[in-house]
Amino acid sequence: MREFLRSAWSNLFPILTVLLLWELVVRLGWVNAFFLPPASVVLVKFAAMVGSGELFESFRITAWRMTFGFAIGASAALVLGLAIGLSRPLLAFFSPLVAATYPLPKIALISIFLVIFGIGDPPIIASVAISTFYPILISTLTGLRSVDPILLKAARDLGANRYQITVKVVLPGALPVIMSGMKMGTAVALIVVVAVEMYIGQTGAGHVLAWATEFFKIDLLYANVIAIGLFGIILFKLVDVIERLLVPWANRD
Amino acid sequence: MRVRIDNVNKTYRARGRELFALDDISLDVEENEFLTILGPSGCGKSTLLLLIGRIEALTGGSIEFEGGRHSDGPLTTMVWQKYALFPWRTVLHNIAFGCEVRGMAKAERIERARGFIDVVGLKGFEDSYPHELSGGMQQRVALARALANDPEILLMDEPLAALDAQTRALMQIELLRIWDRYRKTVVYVTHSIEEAVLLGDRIVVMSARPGRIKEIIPITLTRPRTLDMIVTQEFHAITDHAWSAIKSEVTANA
Repeated sequence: MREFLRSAWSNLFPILTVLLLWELVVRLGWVNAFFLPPASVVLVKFAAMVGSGELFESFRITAWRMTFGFAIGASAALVLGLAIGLSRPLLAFFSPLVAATYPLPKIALISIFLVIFGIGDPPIIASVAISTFYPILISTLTGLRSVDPILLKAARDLGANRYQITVKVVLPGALPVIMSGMKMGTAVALIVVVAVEMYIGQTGAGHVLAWATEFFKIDLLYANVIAIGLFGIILFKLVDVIERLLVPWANRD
Repeated sequence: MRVRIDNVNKTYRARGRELFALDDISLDVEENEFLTILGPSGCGKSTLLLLIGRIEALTGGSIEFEGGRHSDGPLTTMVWQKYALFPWRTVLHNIAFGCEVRGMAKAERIERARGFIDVVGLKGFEDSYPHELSGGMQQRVALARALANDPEILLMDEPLAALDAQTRALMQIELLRIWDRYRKTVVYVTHSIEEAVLLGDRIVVMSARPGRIKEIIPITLTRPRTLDMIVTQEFHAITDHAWSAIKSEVTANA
């Protein structure tokens, strides 16, 4: 308990210090309060948004779009990655396609999705899906090739056939690398969902940002930025927990 | 089972050049023998082991297995220098791997793996992952995994080379104790003369580039072997003999 309090305090102390400095530089007039409202004002606004339920409502929508898009992009990437990573002919066919399309910033496709799907959730979900697809596809392909060859030899020597080597050695061996692709995909999904909502969303956390900017609701803008940051922290913690469950053997210190 | 190795050659192709790893190796490994193969690095001793294990293909000659089988396991199983444990499997499931892929029922193979955990002295570490274990303990797991596979012939490729001196001495004694219990045919590659003498019934001394058999030295020490034997006259006489056989090879390459 004492240990927990100490570690909580050591994390909290720098944050409180920055908030205090923020409050001070604004109150002392060193920074124009119009561009940077005092920390206390932003926190009060944040609390009000939590209290009224509007914060929860906008993040519920954003989280849903993100999760849906991620699920589509990740499962497509996993299925395709495993298929082409385990088959030489498929790899030969898809490699040039992946190499040609990978460098394209996926955000450039928003307009196309908008044309195809019209305004609403689908173009946002499609943008998230296509952006998460590539990092997970690449990490799956890399992961399948990253398994230590000595483990393949050892498995064969112990009597495993090709199928067993694939299922019992290549796949679990690839999992840590695939997981790091999933983490990258999560980070990209968060960026893309917020950016696309700012651009074409009519609801959601990104839309709130764009709206607050347009109407100079500066306290709302800052409160929402903080909320997105907190959302990101929770999201990455969640991914860490999932990783620890799926890859308990990975050596991390 | 016996292993008949007849006129075996192995060449590798590297950047268009032929590399002679083994040149005309002929050797019989007797039933229940503990055969040690000693040689300088690059003499092809590990290659010979990979050929006996049919992990690599020979370029010429033949390797035959003769005689009745004692187990329903595979002909050979390898213990690797770098342990080659599966990092995502616990100690118990690493040891059960061979039985698992060869179709043994789950309850039976877990039971069997537990038995070998006791044999190698790892009770209490069943559910640990390899990265949580020391090098010596990892090699115990690797040994248990090979034994649980119940091969006719155990192939060991410098299994103790990565360990510190104390752990290594301890593991040599452990290995002798376990071998005494099962009396499996063992082909054991090492570059340590003392280890080759302490463990083996015969030492095959190899020369380097290309790998050839230089001399086969019988070891007359009685069994069970103990670490105390290292200070005896007889032990010294054999190590001196092995040293003089290998000396020219080592100095030629140093």
